[in-house]
Amino acid sequence: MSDLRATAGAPEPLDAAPPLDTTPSSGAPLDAAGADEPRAGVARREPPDDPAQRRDTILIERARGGDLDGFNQLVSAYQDQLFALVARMVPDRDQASDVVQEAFFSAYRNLGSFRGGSVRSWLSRIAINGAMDLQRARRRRPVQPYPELEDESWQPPAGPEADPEGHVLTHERTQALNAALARIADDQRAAIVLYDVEGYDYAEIAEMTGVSLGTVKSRIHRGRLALRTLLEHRMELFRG
Amino acid sequence: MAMTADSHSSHDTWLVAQLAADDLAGPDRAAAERLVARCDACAELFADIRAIATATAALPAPVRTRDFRLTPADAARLRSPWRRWVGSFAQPRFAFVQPLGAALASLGLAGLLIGVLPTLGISQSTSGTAPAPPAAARVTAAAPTAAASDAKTAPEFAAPAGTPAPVAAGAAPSAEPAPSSGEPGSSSLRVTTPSAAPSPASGAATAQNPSAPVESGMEPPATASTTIGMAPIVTGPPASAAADAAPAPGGSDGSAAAGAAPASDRAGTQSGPSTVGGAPGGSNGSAAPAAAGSAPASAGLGVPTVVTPGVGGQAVPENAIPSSATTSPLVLVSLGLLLAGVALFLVRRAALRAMR
Repeated sequence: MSDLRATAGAPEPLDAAPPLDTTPSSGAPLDAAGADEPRAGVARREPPDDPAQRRDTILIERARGGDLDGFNQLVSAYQDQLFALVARMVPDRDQASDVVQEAFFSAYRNLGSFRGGSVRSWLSRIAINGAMDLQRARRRRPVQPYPELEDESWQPPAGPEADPEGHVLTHERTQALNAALARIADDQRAAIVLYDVEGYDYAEIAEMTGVSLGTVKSRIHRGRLALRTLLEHRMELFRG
Repeated sequence: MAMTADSHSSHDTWLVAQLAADDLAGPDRAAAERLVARCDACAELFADIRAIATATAALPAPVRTRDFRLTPADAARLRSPWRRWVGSFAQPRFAFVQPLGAALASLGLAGLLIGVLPTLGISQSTSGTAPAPPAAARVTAAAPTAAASDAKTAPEFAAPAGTPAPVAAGAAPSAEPAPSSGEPGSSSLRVTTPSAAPSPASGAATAQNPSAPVESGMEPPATASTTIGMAPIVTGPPASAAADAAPAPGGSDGSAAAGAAPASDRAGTQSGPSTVGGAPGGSNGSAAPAAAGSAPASAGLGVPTVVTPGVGGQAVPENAIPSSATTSPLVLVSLGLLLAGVALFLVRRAALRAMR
């Protein structure tokens, strides 16, 4: 366990999928392993065109067959994205890590309930639900407000070509925006992060969060207006 | 033509936000564009929202601090059917289970206490120093056997009021002190004698104490009742003698004299309504150790501690298992609530542990 945990560090780029072994754990090629007959409860689907989705589908099938390595390849592919998503919704890093870990646990437990589609959306939905549950629990038992994201890890890396003034400006803007994000409503923050940061469209967000399309739009617009109100006196950081 | 700030307060900023997100079409879009074109504040709001959206999209990604890959141990734990079932209760939507379980257990416990405690006779502090409520003493005296009518016991019950009077429960053949008789809290005592011989003295007691209430409806004819303090002394059925005494407030203890004839005799020796040491602060209460003179009488819930002769004449508490309490619906329901609550609490707790 510790050897796996110890490998945390340099995150792999999201698009760089891990080397994919398409052979299931049984040793038989995946397509030959009863692929002609749909699994019980799983609808037969056409293989997706998106290479990442095709890879994910294969890995899911392997994981369903008991191949832990297949599932861990999925984890490797999406853990950075999920952590970034959850950490923006739950600014406490330790809690965000717990939510992500729990999301992967839940995904592993519920591999059978995956009904196809985007694995990324499926994992994001699980993680978002976990983050929302945590935020609801925090509302019920308020302990401390979220830290206003003074964590140094929020600073963008400064390359040698970056000018100091620009770096300071970027740092200030990031801090101000993160602080404002931490103060708006949880559902608005989730919608804004999913839309502006993660790039999901309204329909995907609605599906992930279980609300209507209009509610998603409303949350995004209200969240932006709230951010603008909170940042009104610091807008010079954003206008330049 | 730029509008003033006053007029901006009446403008629909929601419309501007929608326009900034490019979510408008038709007349709404035209209206929003008119606002942005004519109102400086609306135009500033529009630009700010867009700038914030752009800055939000450019936020640097937080860097994770640990690896989330599953270990084989994690996988084995997560795939265990039992853990999967239990783990389903760890989901946040079952967060109510634990408080619900605690509430049910509390209700069940309270119900059990209400249903069982009175029958156990466990009550307030029974230490000698503790003040007692108005004394209540109940003596059910029965006809003694030949041994119970021993003349040795008679003088003890003839002790004057206000003096500590040893209880003569030992007058009965089961004269040995009851196991609980030497402990505080033995608020009452019923001693069952093996012999069912009627006591001639019981009738005498009734005759000597005509003011004493007689529970003729509840007891055999040979039963006489007299009041010590607030409660009556009842001379019980021929085969049994019971004493139930409680100390009176003000330091005078209730006196309970259990014993067949002696109790009746004592009742006979009391004047008037046979009120013995029951009044608060009264001086006629006799600090009498109940049951063979070893246990100080104490205030209880008025439920007698039942002692029956055991093997070899050893007195055994009869109500160690209160049969009437265990069968009452209140106790059963309370027990069910208690068990259900504890089960819910433990399942949720186990689920949370399983998920860790």
